[in-house]
Amino acid sequence: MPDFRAYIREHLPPLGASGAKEAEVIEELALDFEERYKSALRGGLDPGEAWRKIQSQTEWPQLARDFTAMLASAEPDPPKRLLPVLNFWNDVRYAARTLRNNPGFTAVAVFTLALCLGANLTIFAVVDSILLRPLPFPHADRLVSAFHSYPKIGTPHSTASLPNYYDYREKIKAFASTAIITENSEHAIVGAAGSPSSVERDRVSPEFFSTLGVKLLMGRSFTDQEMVYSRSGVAILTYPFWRAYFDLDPNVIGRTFQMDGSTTTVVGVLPPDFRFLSRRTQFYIPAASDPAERAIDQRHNNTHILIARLAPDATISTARAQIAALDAAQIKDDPFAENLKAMGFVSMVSGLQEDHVAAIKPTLLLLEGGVLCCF
Amino acid sequence: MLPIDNARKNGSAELLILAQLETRPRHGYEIASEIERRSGGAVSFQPASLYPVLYRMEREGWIAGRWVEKAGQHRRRYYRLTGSGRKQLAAQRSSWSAFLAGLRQTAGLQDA
Repeated sequence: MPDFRAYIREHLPPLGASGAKEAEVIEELALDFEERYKSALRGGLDPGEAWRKIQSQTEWPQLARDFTAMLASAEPDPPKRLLPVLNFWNDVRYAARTLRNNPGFTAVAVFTLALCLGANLTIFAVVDSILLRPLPFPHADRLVSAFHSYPKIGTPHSTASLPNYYDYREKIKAFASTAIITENSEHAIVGAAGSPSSVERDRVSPEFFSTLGVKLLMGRSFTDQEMVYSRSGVAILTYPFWRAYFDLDPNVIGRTFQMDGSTTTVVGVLPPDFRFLSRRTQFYIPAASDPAERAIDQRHNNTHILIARLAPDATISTARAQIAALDAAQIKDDPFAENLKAMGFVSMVSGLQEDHVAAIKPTLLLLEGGVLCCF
Repeated sequence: MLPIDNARKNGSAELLILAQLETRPRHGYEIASEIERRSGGAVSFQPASLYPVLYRMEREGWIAGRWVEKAGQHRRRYYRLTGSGRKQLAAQRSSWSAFLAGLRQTAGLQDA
């Protein structure tokens, strides 16, 4: 059967009506053509003859002229300011009819839209939680991260060292509080013999939680005395670990558990909502060290993330200046002074959140831009 | 019998269409078919002459078109007679009757 709609679209001159109205006219004419074609076939004509008959009976110029006149005067002109709204409404109705008459296409369109919306919402949720929302700590805008930079060897962002921690907490007055956490979480084997499991663990300094502004649910933080290996067999539990391994025992402080074959004593429990950045840490132990690890030649053994809370009147610039002054003094007796100069060594300070998202920010924004392009 | 040409049909198109819708709503092709059938082929409407008239009558408020979908069929635009259209039909019938009576007497026409 001929494609009547295509034939009419090809021959019908523009009617000057809205797209929706013109589509209605075309559809109505096409149905009429189809009936006449079938009637001609029933009358004994072959398909070619029937089609030629239909074509010969249609006077296009007259049809267009009459239609244009009818449509132009079909309704009183609405106020001009309403025209965009009416045209939009006509287009919406036409689109709705088209979708209703093409269920396959509609299903694909709805599925595609749902996919785009879902992707958009998901990416936006990630962007919102990582880029837009402040870190979940009190006065998070006062939290900073200090790290070493060696731009001349392509390492603009390294981490910090144990000696940095001990130096900064004593000498950088722009920091009200200074703390460290190991750069990467470790896997610890916990549990009794026969039922061990591997969980993530971090080593932190005593002021780590107070620097973040987090109050322990119970117990205490670590002490400076526990920052040596011989006395570091203590742990602060996250809420999930407390629940999983101690069944939320309210008397958990002082209880012990086996970690890497050693007995570890629980000294504190963290609140349920505590989480440091994106880590999955189950419990914390002291960032213990021996004197050799805190020596001058370990200043650039960058294995820790150093965080600090700015003093009330201090700014990031103040902290940078004080650290720069400290670096200038320390490089004089640094055994690697020449190397450090060649590497363009400089200490940096930036907001903790800004530092945390720096690496992932371009990727997230690219993803967000990508899903927005779906629309 | 030769089909009635457009010039003569134009004046009566509205009456012919209104009369087909008196008993029930019909779509455009059905209206044209019914007119052709009832006139014994003497009067026929091609799309070019039928639909502009339907649109004009709809504008006048004599008929109302509505797209209807029926199971297993294309959706179609059915036209029904409105209250105003029913009055118009009665008026046109009366007018045409008087006109044809005068025409018969004046021109010596005979009933078909």
